Amino acid sequence: MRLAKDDDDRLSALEVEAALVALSDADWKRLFKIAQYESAFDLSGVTGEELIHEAVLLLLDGTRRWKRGVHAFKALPFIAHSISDNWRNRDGLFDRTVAVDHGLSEDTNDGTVTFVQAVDNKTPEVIADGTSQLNQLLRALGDDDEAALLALSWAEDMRGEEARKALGWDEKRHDAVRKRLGRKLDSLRAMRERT
Amino acid sequence: MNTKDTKRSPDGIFLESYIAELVAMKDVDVLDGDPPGLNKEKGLAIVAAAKATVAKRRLDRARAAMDREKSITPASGKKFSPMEARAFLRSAANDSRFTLAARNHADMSDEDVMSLCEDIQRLMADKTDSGDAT
Repeated sequence: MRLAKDDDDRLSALEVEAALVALSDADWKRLFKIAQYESAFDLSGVTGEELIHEAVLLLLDGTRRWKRGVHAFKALPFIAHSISDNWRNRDGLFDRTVAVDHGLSEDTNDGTVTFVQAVDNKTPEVIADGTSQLNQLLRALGDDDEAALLALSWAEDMRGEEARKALGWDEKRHDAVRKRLGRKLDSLRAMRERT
Repeated sequence: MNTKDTKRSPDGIFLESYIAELVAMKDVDVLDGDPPGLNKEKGLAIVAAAKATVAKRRLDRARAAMDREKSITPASGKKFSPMEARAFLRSAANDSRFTLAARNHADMSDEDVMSLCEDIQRLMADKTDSGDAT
């Protein structure tokens, strides 16, 4: 188990453990929901909890890094996402030339810093051919055009009020669609298996 | 969040947005009637399991290293661990009696280090037997 050095910008195993233990009940639920969404794209049957386990394991053994000052919601989901991508590529479920990792930009005092190095070769053509998660999600949403529009606004980096205004919806409609999309993201695996 | 980074894929941006929406939700809505403490309990169990796996892997690695060291026995009869052999080579490299080509043995395998160590030991023994200590 590695120990933290004063000039080390990543959490030690002990600090990773302490950060996870400090998460609230609701925060764990949020992590499970995110991991469940990620696992829906893995056809090998891996669960969200298994993805979280693997991410924690890689953080504790030092294979992946958790940058100091970064919240668990910025560290774990993207590691889980990367693991999920790697497993899919390993299992040959997708073309190995498709993106294997994503960069996560984060706010810093001096601009932007990439937390997870991007190895992303998704081209518009690749996205259009249906291998991207977003396209799979849109397919799974089927005829629910409102949920699909909200999902697209999220993929365009618009959230909350910004997304609502861009879509021209009142608060009630936006809230209803957001809740519906949330429920569908929770059950995405089952929805994908049906489509 | 940086919105100017064109390297981010739509999948990555969607994930960031989904996370942001979940973080903005009230805890009570996120928990959606789950028994209090259930999710944290599950989370801590995952952390404990991962910690146990990491500890077991470390132990397995240490055990394998120990087994590897035990299996190396120099022909000269004197038992050296790879660590001892490396220490011996470091000392021999500073000894004027030897022109040691392998001064940088950091990249050598344990087996090669042991073999070189044995050669030097044998050479030293031969020189002593013939009365030539230089």
